[in-house]
Amino acid sequence: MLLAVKTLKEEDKEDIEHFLLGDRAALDRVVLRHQDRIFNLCYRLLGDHDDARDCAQETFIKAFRSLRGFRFECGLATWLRTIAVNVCKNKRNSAENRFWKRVMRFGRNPENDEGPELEIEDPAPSPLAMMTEKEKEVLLQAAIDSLSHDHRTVIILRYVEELSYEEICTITGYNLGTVKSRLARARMLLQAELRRESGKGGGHEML
Amino acid sequence: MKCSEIRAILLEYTGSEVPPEFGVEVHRHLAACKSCAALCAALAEQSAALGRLPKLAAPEGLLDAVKSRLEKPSLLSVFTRWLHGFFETNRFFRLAGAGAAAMLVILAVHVAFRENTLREVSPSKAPVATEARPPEAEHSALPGAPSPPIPSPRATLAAPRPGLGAKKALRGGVPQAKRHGPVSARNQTVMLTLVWKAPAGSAGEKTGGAALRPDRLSNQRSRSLPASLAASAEGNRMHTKGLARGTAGFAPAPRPAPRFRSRGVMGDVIRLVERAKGKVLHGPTPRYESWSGPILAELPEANLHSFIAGMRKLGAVQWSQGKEPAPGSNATVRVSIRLEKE
Repeated sequence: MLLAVKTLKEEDKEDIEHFLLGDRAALDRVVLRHQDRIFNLCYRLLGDHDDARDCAQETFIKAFRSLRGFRFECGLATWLRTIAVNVCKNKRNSAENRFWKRVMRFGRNPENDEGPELEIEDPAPSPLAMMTEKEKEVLLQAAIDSLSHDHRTVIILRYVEELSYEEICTITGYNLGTVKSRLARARMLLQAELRRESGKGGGHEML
Repeated sequence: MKCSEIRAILLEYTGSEVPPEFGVEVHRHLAACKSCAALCAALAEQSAALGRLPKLAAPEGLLDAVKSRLEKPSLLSVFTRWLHGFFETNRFFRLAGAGAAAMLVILAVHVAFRENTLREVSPSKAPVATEARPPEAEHSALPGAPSPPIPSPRATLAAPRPGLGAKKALRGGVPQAKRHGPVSARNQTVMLTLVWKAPAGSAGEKTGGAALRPDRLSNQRSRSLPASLAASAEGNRMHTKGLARGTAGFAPAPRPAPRFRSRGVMGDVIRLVERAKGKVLHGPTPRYESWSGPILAELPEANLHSFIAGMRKLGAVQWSQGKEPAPGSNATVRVSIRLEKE
C-alpha cells in the first residue's frame, strides 16, 4: 500500500483551490496551519503582543483578499511571511507607533542611549552565557527591538525562523550579497547591544 | 588571515557552518587570538539563543477575527451594491439617472467648447494680425484691388504676434511692403516701408538731428515726448555750436571710423509719429546710443499725410514700391522707416 504523504506546499495549494471554489472550511485549515508561524514572526518583529495579533490578522486578511493573484511561484508560507514583514514594517512606521515610541523615549537619560559600539574587543565571556533562559529571552527581544527593521527582519528570518538565504531573499526582495552583509551587520549590532545592556546591569535586574 | 577576515567569516557562518576551506585557518587563528575567540563564542551563543527563543502560539480567536473581517464586505462594495440595487429596482430613478448623466455630458461638452472659443477669441484682441506676405501682394492692398480673403480665426491664431512679425520683416534690410490681412473693418492695417534718405551732413553725421528742430515742426511739444529725447535735441544743438567754435579756433581732431549715428533724426521721427497720434512699436529707447535698425510705427491713416509731410521736411522720402499708396478705408497704417545716408 502506497502511503501518500502530502507536503505543506501541496496541502496549501489544495486548500487555496478549494477556497477559491467557495469552500469556507479551507480558509480555516490554512489559517490554523500558519497562524502560529505568522504570529510568532510578527511578535519578534514588533515586540508587542497586541500589535503582533493585529498584524497577523491583517496579514491573513490581505492574503485572502488577494488570493486570486497568488501564482504559486513560492510557497504560501513564504508569501504569508512576505506580507507579514511588510505589514509589520508599516505598523512600525505608522504615525501612532512613532508617537508612542517618542513618548516612551521621553525622559530617558541620553547618555545611556548612545549608539552601540561596533568594535568588540572585550574578551570577557558573552553576557548571554551567564543568564537564565528567561533573562536571555527578555534581553534578546529588547536587543532585537533596538535594531532597524531591515536588520531585525534578516536576523529573525535567519536565526529564529531558520530560513535559508534564498527564502530570505524572496521575502525581503534583497539579493544574496545584501542579505549576507545585512545579516553580518545585524549580528554585530545585536552583540554590541547585548553587551551594552549587560554593562548597564540590566540583564539580571530586568526580571 | 587577519582578524577582520576571520570576523567576516564568523559573522557570515555560525560555528558549525564554517566552510571546510576556511576551517583550518579559522581554527588556527582562534587558537592564537583571544579576542576573535571570544567573539566567536559570543556569536555562537547569540545564534543558539536566537534559535532557542520560544515559539509563541497564536492567540485564541485569531481565526474568528479573520473570518469575521473577511465576511464583512468593504464599504465600496456595499455602496456599489446599494447603488446597483437602487437603479435596478426603481424605474423612475433609472430614467432620472440616465437623464442626469446625459445632462452632465451636454454640460461638459458646452463648457469645453466655450473654453475653446474664449481661447480663440482672446488673441484677436490685438489690433493687427501680422501675416507676412510677399511684396507682390502689396498692390492687392490698394483700393480698387480685390480685397484679400478674410482669414479664419484659426489662421489668425497661427499668425505670429505683431511685434515679432514686424521684426522678422525688417530683419532682411531690404524695405518691403507688408500687408496684413484684415481681421475686421475697424483694425484693418496696411504696412508700408519708407526709405528715408537723410541729406549729407545733417542726419547722417554724428550731429544728426540738427537739421530739424522740434520748434520748427510745431510750437507745441508732444507731452509723450521722453525728456531724454528732448534733451538730446537740445544737446545736439549745443554740440553743433561747440563744433562750430572748434572749427574757428582749433584744428578739428581726427575722428574715428565714421559710424552712422542717427539718434537725433530718430528722435525727430518719433516726435512726428507722436504728433500724428501714432505709437512706436519698435524703435530706439531713450537710453539707446546708436540705433541702426528701422523704426516701426503705427498711426491712424487720417494722419498719414501730415506725417509724410513732416518726414519730407526731414529729407527725401522714398516709397518702397516707388509710388505713394492711395488712401484707403483703413483705420490704422503701419509704417516702417529706415534711414539711409545719402
